[in-house]
Amino acid sequence: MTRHPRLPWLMGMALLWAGLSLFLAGCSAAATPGPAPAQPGYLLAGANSTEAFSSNQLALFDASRLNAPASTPLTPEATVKLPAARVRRLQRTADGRLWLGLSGDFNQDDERVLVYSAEGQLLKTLRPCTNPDAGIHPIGTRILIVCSEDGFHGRVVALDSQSYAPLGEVALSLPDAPALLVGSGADDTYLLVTAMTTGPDPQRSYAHLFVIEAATLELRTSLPLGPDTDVWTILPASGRFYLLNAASARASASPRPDLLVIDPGTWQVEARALPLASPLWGAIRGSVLYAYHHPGWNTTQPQAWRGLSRVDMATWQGESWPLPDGFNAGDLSVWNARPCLTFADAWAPPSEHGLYCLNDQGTLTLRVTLADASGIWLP
Amino acid sequence: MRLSRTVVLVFLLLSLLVPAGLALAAPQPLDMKTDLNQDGIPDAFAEAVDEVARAKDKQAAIQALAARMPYQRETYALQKEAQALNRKLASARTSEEAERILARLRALRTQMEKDPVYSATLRALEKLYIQKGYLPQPASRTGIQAVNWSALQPGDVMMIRSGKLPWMSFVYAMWYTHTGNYHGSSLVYESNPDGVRLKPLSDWQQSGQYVGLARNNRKTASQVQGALAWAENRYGTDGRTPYNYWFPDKTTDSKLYCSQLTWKIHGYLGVDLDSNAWQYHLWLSLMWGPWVIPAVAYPAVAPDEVSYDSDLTIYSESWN
Repeated sequence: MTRHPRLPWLMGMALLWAGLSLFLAGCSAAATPGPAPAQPGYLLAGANSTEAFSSNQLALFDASRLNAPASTPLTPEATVKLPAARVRRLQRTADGRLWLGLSGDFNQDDERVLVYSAEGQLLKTLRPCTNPDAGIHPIGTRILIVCSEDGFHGRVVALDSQSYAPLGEVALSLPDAPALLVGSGADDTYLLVTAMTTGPDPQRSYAHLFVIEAATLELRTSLPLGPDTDVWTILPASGRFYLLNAASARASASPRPDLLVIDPGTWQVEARALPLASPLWGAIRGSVLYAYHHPGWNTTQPQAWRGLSRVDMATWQGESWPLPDGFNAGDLSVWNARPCLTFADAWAPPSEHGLYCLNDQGTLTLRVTLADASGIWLP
Repeated sequence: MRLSRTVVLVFLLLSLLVPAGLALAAPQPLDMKTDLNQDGIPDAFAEAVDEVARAKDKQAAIQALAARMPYQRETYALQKEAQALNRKLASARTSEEAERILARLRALRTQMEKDPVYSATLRALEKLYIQKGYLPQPASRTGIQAVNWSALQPGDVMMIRSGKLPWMSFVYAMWYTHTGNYHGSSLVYESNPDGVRLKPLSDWQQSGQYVGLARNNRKTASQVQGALAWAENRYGTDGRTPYNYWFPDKTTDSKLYCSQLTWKIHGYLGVDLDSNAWQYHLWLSLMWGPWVIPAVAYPAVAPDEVSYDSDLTIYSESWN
């Protein structure tokens, strides 16, 4: 047997090279994801405070794969790791860029808005204000970012969507009460922002609405929405704004104020009842309003039931589906006229986290798996 | 010549006697291996903790127990480094500098975990505390909405454990990582590194977090609500009161950390929520070294110390 003195050294080098190649392959896969599919969908994991947001990620998947019948859940084509902070907002601009607003955790606020390419490459880190977690809205060539700041008052900042240059800002506050900004919605003319505030009865929720001219950032009007209001979602459609009132299950008014409809002509608030109380997340496709209902949201008087509803806004006829008790969805979107919800729960195995869509039988089916899924954007 | 011989002899004698004397004076290392009842808690350690519980001078007993831990020499060195870093926190000029120091403290804590005796000690202490009811049972969902949110009143103290490694959130945490004060209308009044602020109750209601809700049992609800209003007026709602990274300085009004804000609110009513509970002090001294008791545990007020205070009645403690 011939002894080869260099063999162990060569084997060592080969192993090192193989290891390095694998490591670099892993790195480059994360750094330069492949091209985005024609119909990209984005799932966000950004709300697991139990794990100190260490599992935060943005997942890209081919939304057209949702057309196939649900057999086994899809796995995303690519994922990008995100910073460890609460990520409440995910927005996509027409050019495909993704905008994420961060808001820290119990021990830290955050100021970052992260801008990613459609493929998931980080393009820019902006620091427009503290806690940009109450909405991001592209309007023309501008981006309006709604920041909750310290919760006593908030701020809206306008940036040029291409150069990211600041274009202006407006502070939002109330004379003798806090204004914790939590929801917003915009069309080409107006930005509407809702705040949590206080009122005469500390056991009840009070929301306040700020109306801002999108072009000038001037405060057009500001109106209290009254007791038992808590609005985290504002949907613009056909020149009107639809505010989902998560606190309506606790309201005794008739009709039950599940939906607050606002007409920019008069700024009058019209209350409407939906098939279920306490809509929290929602989307409008055509003339149909889809909503996820969570009467236990952000309240000291929680209820366990959850539901989904669909309402034709032309006739206000609708239907609803019960969801399992405690099914805490983080977001809602719509694919092919079917509502889809993100679901994650610290006590459920991560294999059960992800995007659930309603099937023909009216039951939710897991379509895309993603641990700690909390947000969704679908084309 | 004779003199130098005498000096050498004396030196030799001393070099033999002094270490022997020191060895006799040094505390006997605790036996962290024998566990006859196989409950995961070394028998000698369980007995030593019981001795602390029974001791009249708890701080001396804690110091004595900490001195007997057979940690690796590197661990003791890391604890000394932590002591020096903690001193630096006092003079940190910017929040960035303070955050860097805290990050280094967390890294030291992670390094200490490599000492098997150190990590086994903290695991054993946790088990013992759970057995004795000083700490809650391990994570499990006891039922939907197990936290009694409906009892929450303005002014109530809220405590939360978020993150599986509490010291990653707050370096001197044993169980709770953060405190807040219920403001009413689903708003929570808190202090964090960006100043005093309001946050939505929904952040506290996420699944997997352990929440404690407590009420001052010495004062009426309206008195506590008055103190809350006083605090909001005093510390501002415009970010003018920054975060206090120097935890031992709890009396200052110019900067605040979360449990200091809670302590101030109730302190305004003459109620001292700093329990200085021995259970927390023992935990902390086994984790960071005995230096931490006079340097941090006594002068500061941690969320864990608030949770042990007898002036508070904890009416709900559970996993979300």
